[in-house]
Amino acid sequence: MRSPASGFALVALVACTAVTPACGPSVKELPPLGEVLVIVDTDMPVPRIVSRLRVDVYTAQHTWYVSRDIPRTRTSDWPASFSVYVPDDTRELEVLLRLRAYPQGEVRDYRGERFAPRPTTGDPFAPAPVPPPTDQPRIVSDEFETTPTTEPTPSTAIDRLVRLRVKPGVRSSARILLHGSCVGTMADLANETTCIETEDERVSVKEEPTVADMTLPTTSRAGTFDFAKPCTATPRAAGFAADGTPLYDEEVCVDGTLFVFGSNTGFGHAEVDAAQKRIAILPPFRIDRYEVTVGRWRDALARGFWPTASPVINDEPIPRDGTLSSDGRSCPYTTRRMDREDYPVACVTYASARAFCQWSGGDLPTEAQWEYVAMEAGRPFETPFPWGGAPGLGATCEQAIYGRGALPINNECNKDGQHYGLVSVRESAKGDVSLGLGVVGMTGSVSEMLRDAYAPLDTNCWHRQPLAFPFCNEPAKLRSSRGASFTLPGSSVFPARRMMFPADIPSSEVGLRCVRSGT
Amino acid sequence: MRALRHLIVGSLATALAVVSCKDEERVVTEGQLLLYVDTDAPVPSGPGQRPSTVTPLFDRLRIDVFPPASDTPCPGCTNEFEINGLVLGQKKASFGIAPAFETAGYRARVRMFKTDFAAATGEPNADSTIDVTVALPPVDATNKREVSVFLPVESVGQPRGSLADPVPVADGALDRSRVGSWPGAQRVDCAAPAPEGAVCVPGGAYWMGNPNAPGFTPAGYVLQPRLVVISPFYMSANEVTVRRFRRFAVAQKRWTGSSAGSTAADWCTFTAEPGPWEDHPVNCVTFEEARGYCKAVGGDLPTEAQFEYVQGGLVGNVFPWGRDEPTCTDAVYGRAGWGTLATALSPCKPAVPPGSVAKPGEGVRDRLDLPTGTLVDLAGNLNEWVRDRWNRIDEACWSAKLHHDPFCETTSPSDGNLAVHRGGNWSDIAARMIATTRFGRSGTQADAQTGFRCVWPAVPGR
Repeated sequence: MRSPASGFALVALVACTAVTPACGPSVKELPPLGEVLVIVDTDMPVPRIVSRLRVDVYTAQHTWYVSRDIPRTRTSDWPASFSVYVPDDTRELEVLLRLRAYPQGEVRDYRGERFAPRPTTGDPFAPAPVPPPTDQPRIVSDEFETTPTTEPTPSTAIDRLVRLRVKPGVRSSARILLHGSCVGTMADLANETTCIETEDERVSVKEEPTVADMTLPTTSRAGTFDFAKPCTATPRAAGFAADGTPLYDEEVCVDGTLFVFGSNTGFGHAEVDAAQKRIAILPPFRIDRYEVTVGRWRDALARGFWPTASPVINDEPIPRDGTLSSDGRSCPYTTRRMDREDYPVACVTYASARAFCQWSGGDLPTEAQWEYVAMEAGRPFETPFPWGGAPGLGATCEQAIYGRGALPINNECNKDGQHYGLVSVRESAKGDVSLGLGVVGMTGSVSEMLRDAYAPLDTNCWHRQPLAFPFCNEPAKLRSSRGASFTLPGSSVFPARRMMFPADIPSSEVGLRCVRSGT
Repeated sequence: MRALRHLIVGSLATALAVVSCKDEERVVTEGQLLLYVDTDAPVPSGPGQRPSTVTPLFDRLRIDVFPPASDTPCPGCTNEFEINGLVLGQKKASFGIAPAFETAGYRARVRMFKTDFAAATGEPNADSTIDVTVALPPVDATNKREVSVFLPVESVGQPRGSLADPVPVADGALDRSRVGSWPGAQRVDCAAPAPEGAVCVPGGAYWMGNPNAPGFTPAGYVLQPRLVVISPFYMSANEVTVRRFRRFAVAQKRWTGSSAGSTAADWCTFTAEPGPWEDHPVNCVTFEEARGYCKAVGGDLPTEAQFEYVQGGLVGNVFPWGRDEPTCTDAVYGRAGWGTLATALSPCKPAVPPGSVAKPGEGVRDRLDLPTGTLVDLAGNLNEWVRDRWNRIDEACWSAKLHHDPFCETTSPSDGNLAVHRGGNWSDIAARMIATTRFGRSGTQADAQTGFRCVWPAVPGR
């Protein structure tokens, strides 16, 4: 507990608030109180990853005084700066600052510190341990409470503790860089450890050195965090089978990136917690422009690919009226060439699909790679659909292949009852094309197998992942897929939706595309 | 050189940029316009200020200055600031603008908006922005001219002035700030006696709808932000139970006695004679049955606006408790998975059948504490019928940007005559519990996922 009077003094003295007109020329007119000018910069991209700064001030004994949360949405808003003053000219002041840089909107309810380090053990598919809510500490004076109701979500925030000593009559500055490597490494307020420059590494907070130079830098380091490696490999050009059948096997090159993995449009939709976001760094890669087609699979067999199990074979036409004797009647693969060579291959097991991509020199995409291409690559901000779209605006039957089921709940794009089932990848190319890269069929057509085991994003498997190239690499019968299939109704058609499928049960709704290294 | 000086938009030493001090260095003192900004809207409390009892409606100000005959701002002439009660309440929201001397035709566009509704690009959402474009008077080389612009809440979503036809500024500095004085925003207590089992919901203003609401919903299901003023009302603390409903029951679907869920009616809670579900909420009721009950007890169903107001914790939260995605103990949802619902997405599927509606108040965070009591199960347990007819966002009922106690009675031209339910239910996913999610459906469709609660007026004569 503390006296409210001293608490108020510090509140008034922190930052260039209207209470203390302390900025610019008027600084010179202030009495010579001790001051530390805190200059905060980040090397993260602004505003894509960092667009707000949260500043919390505690006493050296961890009594929480004040909290400010400020939009800093332009590179020119950085470095941000504010001053901490001593309340009188006789004694030193020691404060603990907590600085958090994070993207707009990425907050959770404040229910106490709930510090949780990255898990290292435990069932990969169990939820990562979260300390129970304590609702402590709080900002309380005798008169009123100003504890914020939310705080930056730890997985998307750079979280830094700084200890400052302000000496009477001395003016100096402290320069803090909120380092990109520290995003997702939560500071431990109780034990005063914090990430400074190395991911998942907390060091004890020491008194921050200050310098006499009070000049503000004119440039920011925003955007200099080194992750954007160019894709230097040569993407495969469109190939043809021996008889001239197009294989739809061309690739596009994706530069390395850093992005927010997880999406608001997935919020509350999957089995558990689709919206728990994290920052992911991806090295450059190449990705197939189209889903792997029947013709491409057949061509691979001719050239020596030997899968553990063949795709389910269906030598009959797909019944367009949707009267099925079995799911196999929806499968596109045929013994001999029919009119479905340009259909996405489906009805394959996970092992065969992955073997196909590995035989082609790569692998299945990770979920993070897939989401980046579908929702983020080639545009300044995440969009709900590969072609862009807007919140609250679903896909239409012209834009993607979905709603082609036979039941009233899933036939919205099969109203005449004669358009059941899968179609050529060329149909997806009419609308379901990603911005920038031009990748086809990620919204609809078939759901696409991923390299990851299926696990909610709040599990140990995901919480253990590093920033660079995260994926849930566990043996499991349930595998992840993304993208809707032709049978799903519009209310389920959005690429943020996380899905799963059993590894050894082929389905006409699940297909694949492959990735290869980009270097 | 002077001609090139037409630019600075910077806050003065005491003004808006609260953390960064960089802007102040550019302030010029002579030959400039000082533009003061004021509003009657409630804004967030400043640091050290007592938290307001009134919900803040705006938190950001953007100013663009346009040179004569140009419809793009001059370079460096766009600026944005966080606003709060310290800045506005002390008349300190001012901008120095240094146009070319003795030149008419400069205009300033001043927009006040809510950061949460802005597009990813930072562009304000037009429906929820107060947008005033003013003509700036010429200045000469020696004077500092003070002018002011007022941003009235009543003009939200309806721009005043345009670049082609700007409105005049008021001459002189502000003599007082009117921040927070808009009557619609005031918390108003109930003035009538409380019906039994009802809780007073104080009146106030909130944003209904949110373009950036999390979760994916089909077109038209989430409203663009509409500023809504709600009069105080009384609301049932919980969804109406079987015990209370029985004496008003009309021909009812009955609980079949099976708990396997072989038919949808197996999850209906009503029994003609007192049975195992007495204190569970009643479900399997049509819109008319639900409304009939509420009228019989002297009230009515809540309006969509009333329901979203409480479901968002009176402040436009995602859920009654805030914005965390729920766990299975936080609210009653995702509990299907048995019988005919075996294939449902079910994060909270119970270990044994049937998986069904819970007694009131089981969700530990699905509650809203108010001065005279607590409302429970606003997000989960049962969908709840509301009084309105369904209208899409772009249809007549919701076209205005500011509403007072809205109630939609017209049929949707696109979707026909549909009733509306709000809130999520025991069998569905968490996304359906988001406060801004709405659902239009036939009012005659009674199902095991939908129940209701009632409201009563709390202002005499209304």
